[in-house]
Amino acid sequence: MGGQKNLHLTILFSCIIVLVQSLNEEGTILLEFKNSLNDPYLNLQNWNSLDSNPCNWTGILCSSNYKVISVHLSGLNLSGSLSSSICRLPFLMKMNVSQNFISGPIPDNFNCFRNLEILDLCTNRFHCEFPNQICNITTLRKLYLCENYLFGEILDEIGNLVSLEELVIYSNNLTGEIPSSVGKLKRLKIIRAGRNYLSGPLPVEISECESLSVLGLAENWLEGPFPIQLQKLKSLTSLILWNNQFSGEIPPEIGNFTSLELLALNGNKFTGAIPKEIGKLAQLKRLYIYTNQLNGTIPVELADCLNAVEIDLSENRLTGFIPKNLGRISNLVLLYLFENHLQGNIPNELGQLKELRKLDLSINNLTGSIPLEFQNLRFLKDFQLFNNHLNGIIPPFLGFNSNLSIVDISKNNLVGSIPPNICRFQKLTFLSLGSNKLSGNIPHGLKTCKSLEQLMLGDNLLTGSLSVEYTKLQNLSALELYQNRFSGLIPSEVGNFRNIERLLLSHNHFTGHIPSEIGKLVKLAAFNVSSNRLFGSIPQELGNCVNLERLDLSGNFFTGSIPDKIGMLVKLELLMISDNRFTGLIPGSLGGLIRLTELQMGGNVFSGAIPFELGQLGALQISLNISHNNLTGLIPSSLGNLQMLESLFLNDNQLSGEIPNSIGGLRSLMECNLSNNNLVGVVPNTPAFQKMDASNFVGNNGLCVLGSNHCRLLPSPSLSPNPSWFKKGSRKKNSQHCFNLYRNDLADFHRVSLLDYEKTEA
Amino acid sequence: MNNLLFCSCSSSIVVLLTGDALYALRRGVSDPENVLQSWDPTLVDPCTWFHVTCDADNRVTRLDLGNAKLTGKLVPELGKLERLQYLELYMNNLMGPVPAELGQLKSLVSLDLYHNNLTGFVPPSLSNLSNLKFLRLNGNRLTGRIPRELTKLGSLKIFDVSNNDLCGTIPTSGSFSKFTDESFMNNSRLEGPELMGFVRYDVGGCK
Repeated sequence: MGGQKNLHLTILFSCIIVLVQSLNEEGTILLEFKNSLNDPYLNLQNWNSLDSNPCNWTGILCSSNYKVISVHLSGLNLSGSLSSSICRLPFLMKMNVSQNFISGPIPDNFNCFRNLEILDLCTNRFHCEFPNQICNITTLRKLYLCENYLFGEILDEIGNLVSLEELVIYSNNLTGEIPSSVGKLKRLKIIRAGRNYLSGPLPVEISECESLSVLGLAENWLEGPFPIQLQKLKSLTSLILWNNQFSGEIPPEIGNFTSLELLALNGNKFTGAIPKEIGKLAQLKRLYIYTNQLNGTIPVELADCLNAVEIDLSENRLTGFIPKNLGRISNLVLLYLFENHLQGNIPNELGQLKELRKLDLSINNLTGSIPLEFQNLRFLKDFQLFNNHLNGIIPPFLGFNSNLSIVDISKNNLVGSIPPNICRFQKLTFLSLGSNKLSGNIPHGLKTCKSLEQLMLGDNLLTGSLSVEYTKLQNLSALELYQNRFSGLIPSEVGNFRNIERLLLSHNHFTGHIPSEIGKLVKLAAFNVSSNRLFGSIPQELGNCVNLERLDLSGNFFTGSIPDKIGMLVKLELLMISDNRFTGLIPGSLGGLIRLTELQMGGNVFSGAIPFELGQLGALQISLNISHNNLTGLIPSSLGNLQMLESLFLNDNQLSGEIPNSIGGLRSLMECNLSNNNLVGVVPNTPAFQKMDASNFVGNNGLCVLGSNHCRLLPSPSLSPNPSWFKKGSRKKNSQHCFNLYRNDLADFHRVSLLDYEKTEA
Repeated sequence: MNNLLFCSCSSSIVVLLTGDALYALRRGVSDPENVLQSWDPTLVDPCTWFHVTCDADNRVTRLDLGNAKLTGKLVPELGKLERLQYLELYMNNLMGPVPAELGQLKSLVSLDLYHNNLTGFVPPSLSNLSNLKFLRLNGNRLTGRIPRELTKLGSLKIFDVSNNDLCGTIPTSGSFSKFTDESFMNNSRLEGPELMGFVRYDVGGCK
């Protein structure tokens, strides 16, 4: 009796437990799906098996009768792999796991979906072949697989997705041709398959995709002619084929693409002229055909594209004139025609383009003057006309009405002065007017232009001085005033140019000293004051400019000695201090400049010996020139270490002793001028030296060149070099015959490292 | 999503083709010392970039990046620098092959890739560098043969492929007649000078 009661209680209790505890089938499926994912941030924490249904779980959307219709798990830092269990959700319409780190393959059986319309796997790490199994999900309207590592080809099965409206598969590693079966996809509106490795021509059948609006195939390896077949597509608004290998001409049929708003053909190999039919594209807003091989002239009919906002025809071979009625395109914001062969004047009518923000006509053969009308363009931001043959003045009110940011009119024939209001709105960052014939002073408006980062005025006829006010331009990283008629001092406030990297003042009339405050310029990398009238000594604070790579002080009246601290400028690649009045010793610390490729110290009054440390300058390649000084003593044998050196100038000094054998071992040497010294002995008889002109060695009383009759030598077994191939015991015979004559080793005089050359002779 | 497919990709300042080539190099290497920091593609031309030297026509003539702690690979775009005379990339940690495109550098006088980690073959296309005087590839891990085509480089003064893993025979004609064993040493599989007029079948499988 008691046992039966217990049994009833147990059964009742069990039923209650079962009623309270069961998660529905869909929840179980989702938990199985979650199992193969990693969720380090616990975003799916509330996916709880104790719930009865998953409709309140993160990312889950249910219908009114608690069926899961949408799984949206985008951007939750999920990793792990994709489980095909999820396709068992019978009512699922949208699945989005984009912007996670899910990896591995898309499973083969990931296609049991019965109602799926939107599948978004974009921006993950899926790595497998193009998932042809998905092509069986015939309910699919939107397929997003972009930004993964899918490879292989898009196979014909893609044509099975008859409901497909959007195919977004860009940024993968897909190869092969676009299958002709895409023509079956009558509802397809958007194809975005850029940044893959698709090849071959576009199939003719694409013209059967009647609904196609956006065709995005940029950055592939597609080739063949311009796809004329697309003229059938009356809905096509965007044709995006940039950075492919399309070739041939743009056909006149382009005029039939009447819905086009965006035509991007840049970065291909199109040839021939731009057809005049382009003017029929009344809806065209953006025209990008730059970086091709187009020739011929810009058709005047282009001005019929009255809705155009951006036109870029740059980097082609266009000739002829800029059509003046381009000024009718009143919404034009961007006009780039740079790097062509355009000629004639810049039409004044371009000044009617009220919305123009970016104008670049650089690198052409344009002549005439800059239209004054450009002064009226209120939104003009980037203004570039450099490298043409423009003359006349720069419009004097340039900048008065416009918040200019970038202005480059360098390399023309412009005269007159720099417009005073060019920085009126304090937005100007880049101003290049170099290589013109501009005169006058730098206007006050530039001295207060705090936004300025680069000011390039070199190679003009400008006058005035580097007044203190300029040093308030804290954002300035480059100041180029070289080759002008600037005068006056370099102010000590130059130390305020905290961000300056390039300070190029050469070929002017600057005078006075280099202020010691130069040492504050820790970002300075290039400092050139050559060919001025500077004097005084080099401040040792210059050694604080540790980022200096190029230092040129040549052609001034500097005196005194070179501070030792210059040896701390270890990034120096070029050191030019020639043609001054430097005195004293050449500091051995210069041996620390291990990146130096060129050292020019000729034409000074340096005295004492050549320091052996110069032999440590292993990167010296272009030239070592210490000619025309008062140097005495021996040529250090260590110079034989400079194995990349091409030119060595020690002439016109008072060097004595013999030429070290190691100099003969300088295999890259093409020129070695030792003339006008007191050298004795024999010129090295290596192949390199045999090619040098005798004038390199004249003016040395005791120096003889082998072969001339006053040169004594001991007989030697062989005169020509005899290469020995790995035969032990054979000698490499360099014809240093006189080495036998003068064996008192010069190496004893200097602490040097042994060269390979000297080792084999030992 | 839009930006990827129809950006107005013409940047607001012109980048000449040589600037593109150099910037491709910057993207191909890793630069822990920030030697290439000034290589900004939005600047007008590469002539203001540090370690780049231009001539009066603003064409790049020198690239000085020796001993700069660069790692990564040489890019084929370097072959576009038509006026380049000096390509100095020695003493870095560059790996991968010597791009055959370097054979397009028709103005090249000096090619210094020594002391890197380069692998693969010496490209025969280097024989097109008719102005080449200095070719230093020593201290790498190059394999394969020394291309015979290099003997037609009439101006070649210095040739150094020592300390590599080259195989096959050593050309002896043309400019190679003046190179000594220093240029070839420490290549354990190099067989010695080619024997002219003697057909030789390789045993060791040198490609």
